[in-house]
Amino acid sequence: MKITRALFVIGCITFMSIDAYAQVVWLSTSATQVDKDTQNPYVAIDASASAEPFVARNAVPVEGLTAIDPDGNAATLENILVGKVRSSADLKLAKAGTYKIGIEAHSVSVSYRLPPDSPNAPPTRASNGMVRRQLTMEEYKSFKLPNDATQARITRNLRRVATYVTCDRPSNGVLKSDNASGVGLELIPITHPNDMFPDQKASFRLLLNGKPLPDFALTVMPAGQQYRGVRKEIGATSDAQGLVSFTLPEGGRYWLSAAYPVRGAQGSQSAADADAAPTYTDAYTYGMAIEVLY
Amino acid sequence: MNSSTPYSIASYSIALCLPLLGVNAVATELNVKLQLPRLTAAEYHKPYVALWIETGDHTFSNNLAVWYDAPKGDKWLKDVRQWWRQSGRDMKLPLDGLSSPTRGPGDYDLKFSNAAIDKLPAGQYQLVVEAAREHGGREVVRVPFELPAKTAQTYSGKGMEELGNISLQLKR
Repeated sequence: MKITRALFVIGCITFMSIDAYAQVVWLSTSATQVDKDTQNPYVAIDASASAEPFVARNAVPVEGLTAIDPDGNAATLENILVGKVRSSADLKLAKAGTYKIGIEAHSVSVSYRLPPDSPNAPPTRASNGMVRRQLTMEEYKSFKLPNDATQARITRNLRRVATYVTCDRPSNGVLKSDNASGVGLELIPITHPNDMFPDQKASFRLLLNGKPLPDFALTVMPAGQQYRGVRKEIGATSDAQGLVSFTLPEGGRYWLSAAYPVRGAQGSQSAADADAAPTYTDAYTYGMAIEVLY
Repeated sequence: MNSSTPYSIASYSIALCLPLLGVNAVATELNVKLQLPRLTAAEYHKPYVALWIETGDHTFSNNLAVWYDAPKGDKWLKDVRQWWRQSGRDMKLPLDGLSSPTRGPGDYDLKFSNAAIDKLPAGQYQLVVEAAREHGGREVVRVPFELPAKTAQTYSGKGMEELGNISLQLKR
């Protein structure tokens, strides 16, 4: 899947689908730890898409936003709002322990080439005859590839975003890898994500379709790039067991992310496959917001 | 995970270190010099202070002291945040030999001769001092040291606001 940034932007403007944004979809919460005896045991959840994680820019759909309580049951989200800049909801931490908050979004990216005089051409397309579309699962059901399309590529996207919040003492129920779906890319905390300290080593496990993903890069990015300029990324690569370990240097929020397949790593569309049958691939992204408290 | 109370630490450590008893037969003295700076604040409250020992990789090992206002200040103990997360929330205070009232600005000379330190396996450790002040700041200073102490050794650290100079002396 080789999509240039320019074409990404064209897709974004043309179809206004959130998946087309050359942006990160992220989540954050007003707090990651709440004390049991507080008068107001709520956290506010924000979700947005932007170039820089934690700096809200464009609201995202909330259909796939869910919270799981420490016992593994669905927790109710209140005051759900889809604004212009961010989407948000309130979550009551009624039980002691750790909650998982996540967004799971499925979509399909379709690209194909049409001849210059094709009657199937959409009003806007790139000059080279390539058509790129971002479809929801609902739209994809009724999608038909035009009969004059060539070099068709269909990519099924599964994007997951997760974060954790704890009331009182951290618990491990929602972290366990046996709760992993076994589908796509998943990041499983080994170190409790709500019990990290500055200068402490943190470990996670990367899974692909439920199996450890070895020798794979996880990007760890501290929040606040807008105040410092440089990214200060912490590079981390999984070992043979899919285990990724790194030291979080100081307090603050961090954005952990990985994409499979690695963008640009797949074969490019060459002239040789011009007449080939449509190719189908799966693309997964996983992002996780964590907070290290001083 | 870090749910050890001083009691369980002691028993755990004894079990771990029985083979080392011969080596560590001489008790190690642990002396801490601790400075609470005088701060100009419109509303000054004496800080809550916790002192404890953790291993080189930040795993809680054992408590040395907790200064707070018992019993009415129990609910503010959690504001000594790192200590609370590592140990405080798993224990019941007050505790003889551990908790004592808050203290104002000044220099303190603290001696710990409970021998708990002799029961720790050889390796890298840190003395951790955390001070949290109502309507004020909170600061944690870590002073790394090594066990077993061979001869008299002094290690030091320094806070920026809530804590002044801290030194740790190990003597056998």
